[in-house]
Amino acid sequence: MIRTALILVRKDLRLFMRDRTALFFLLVLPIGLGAVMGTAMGGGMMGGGTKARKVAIAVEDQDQTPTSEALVGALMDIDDLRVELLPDARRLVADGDRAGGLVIPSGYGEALVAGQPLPALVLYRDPARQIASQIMLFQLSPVLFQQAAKALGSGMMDRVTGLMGLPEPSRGAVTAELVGSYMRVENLMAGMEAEWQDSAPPVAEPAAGEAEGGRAAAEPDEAPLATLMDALPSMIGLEVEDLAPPRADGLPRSAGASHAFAAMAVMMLLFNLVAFAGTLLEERAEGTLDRLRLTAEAGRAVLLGKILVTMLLASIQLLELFSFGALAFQVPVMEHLPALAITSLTWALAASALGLLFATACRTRKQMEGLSTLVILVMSAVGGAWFPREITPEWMQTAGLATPVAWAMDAFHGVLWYGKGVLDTPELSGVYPSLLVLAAGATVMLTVAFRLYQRRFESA
Amino acid sequence: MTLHSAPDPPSAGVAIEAKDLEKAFGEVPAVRGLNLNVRKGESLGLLGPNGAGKTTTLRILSTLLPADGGSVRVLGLDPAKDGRALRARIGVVPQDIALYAGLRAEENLRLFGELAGLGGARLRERVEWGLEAAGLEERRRSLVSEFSGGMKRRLNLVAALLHEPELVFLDEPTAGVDPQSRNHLFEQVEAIHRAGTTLVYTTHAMGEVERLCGRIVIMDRGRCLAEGTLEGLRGLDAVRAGLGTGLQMEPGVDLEQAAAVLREHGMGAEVRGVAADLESIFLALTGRALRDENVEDDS
Repeated sequence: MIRTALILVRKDLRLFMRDRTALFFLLVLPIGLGAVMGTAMGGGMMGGGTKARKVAIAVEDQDQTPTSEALVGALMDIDDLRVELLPDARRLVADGDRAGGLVIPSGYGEALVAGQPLPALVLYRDPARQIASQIMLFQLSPVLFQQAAKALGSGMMDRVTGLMGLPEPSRGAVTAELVGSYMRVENLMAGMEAEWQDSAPPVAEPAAGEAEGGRAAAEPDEAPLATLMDALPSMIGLEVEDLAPPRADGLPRSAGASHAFAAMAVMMLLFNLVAFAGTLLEERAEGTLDRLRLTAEAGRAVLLGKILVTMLLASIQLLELFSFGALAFQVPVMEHLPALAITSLTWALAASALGLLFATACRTRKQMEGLSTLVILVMSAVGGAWFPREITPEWMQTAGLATPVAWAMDAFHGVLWYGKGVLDTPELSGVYPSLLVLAAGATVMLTVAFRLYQRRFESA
Repeated sequence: MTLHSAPDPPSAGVAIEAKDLEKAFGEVPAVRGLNLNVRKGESLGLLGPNGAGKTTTLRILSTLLPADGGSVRVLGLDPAKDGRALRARIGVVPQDIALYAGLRAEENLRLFGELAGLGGARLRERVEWGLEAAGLEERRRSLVSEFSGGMKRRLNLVAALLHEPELVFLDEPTAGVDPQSRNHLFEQVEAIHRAGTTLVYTTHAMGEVERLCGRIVIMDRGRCLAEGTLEGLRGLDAVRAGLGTGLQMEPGVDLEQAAAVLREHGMGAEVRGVAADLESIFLALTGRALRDENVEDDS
């Protein structure tokens, strides 16, 4: 019995070891995906850390004084923020182009110099980027604290010395005392900062869905930090406005649901369409492709037929997915239906093209299954279908742009979360740049697929 | 050099004319300087061991594969340039069961009929003909995946005949079927041949070629070794030499007299006249060494 079982084990191992696809799934795929995921989450291979991408924040300086410029300079020195001086910071956040936007109002410098109450700085945040928002607030705080403290100290000094009617010689001692107090405040702030640094959530270890997942992950022992973070803006003279895009139907907009359904639309379509395109290889192996080619009418229409079917299947799948999303999760499907339809069709074309590229480049269905699984999973990871791209290292961000997934995610998320249309409006930019990139990519992939089809299917 | 047992067919009414046909897959030659002539209405048997180049030749003639060299005319058309027009006039019965297993018998025939340019009442009529010819009227709504090997083969044959092609290439159409199905298939093929369809038939079943084909071409290693009628092939010197053992006599010799002469010389008591069959001729020309070559998907 045991001997027979061992003979059968030997047989199965032999067959398995000769199956390259099975070996690929067993040994290569887990390591490949592990490397991508580990790197994306901020880990570095061989013990080397990979620094997460800096949070992008637009600073709009409406004050244009040496004081406001000094503040901008100080902000730019913050390591974990990528601060850019740009106009219309609010629009940039509303468009999803930046995680945050800080507006320095006019009169800020004058008030600071005069020791008067400062006009509030306005921080616009994207609620879909909660982790980025927390990082941003946390990193801005020390600099803004210093500004607030300076204003406080300067005002106090003028008031106290004036009220006391002290003669000029005595004012020096009083000022020294006040400066000493200021220094003590600064030291206190530095201590608080260090404490927060220790207790702050790691920058690059978010949950898969950043938006509401981040909130949901808050445990009871993190509550004091959350309370502090809530109180922080008023302490540092900051007015925070979360730019949750309004919905025409008045329902709350869910960033998590929008991201989830965008990701499902992108990833599931890729898997299904690539699998369907593989029928081309199946038909070749079975001889039915030759039989089609032997008919008077089929000819080159074979490939066109495949594209049309994949587009149709994609439409059916997306229709079902978004209908479910609208009904069960209030995903705002009807809000920009034409934009969603155009985005869906463009993505379906790109995914079909990718599927045909795999089908014409591979020799067998098994080979295609192995290769496409790895490529789709990696593209989904670096393209933002699994987690927001902004939490990944900068080089991975850049690499993500080489995948159609990143552009598709931008377009779907733009429509579903930001409420964008295809074209620009006075309030928002359109998703057409992403769609153009997808269409261009589809054209290139289809051209290559047609060439490969001619060479490998029609001449061999 | 090709051994001829009969003069070349006249050029009038030529269905296939291939001259110096060449095709290689990478460095491996599959067809080397093949010359082939088939008259309209003729039934040609194309024989050869595995790797001889038969399937490659059929693929070139039927527009599936471009030739590397030489010239080809099929029904007066160039397969490389007039593919669409030619495909409308030819039929190919592939070696594989090239049917969609997930479609019903009727759906398969309708698909291939439509793609062959049929429509409307004509399509319905031809699909009915196909189901009847394949003996599958009762199973028209069954999925092909549920069929036996013989049923699939029968459907595979009629799917190539729906548009009533003038010339049909049959690549081992009876492989792996039971005698009943083979006989049924054969009757169908004979029927279309009687109706005037030109046939090019490749198989390893020599008996089928003897029964069906008026002329035979034997290929090996991409070349044509011999061509002619069965009788003509029997008379080729190379064949006679290759047959080796046994006493070979000229046609018309009186066997009783021959037996008497042999007995006088103390050799044998009985003499029976046995004509060399096609398999013996085939082996005489191509040798008895095993062929395990695999040039692309040729067999």
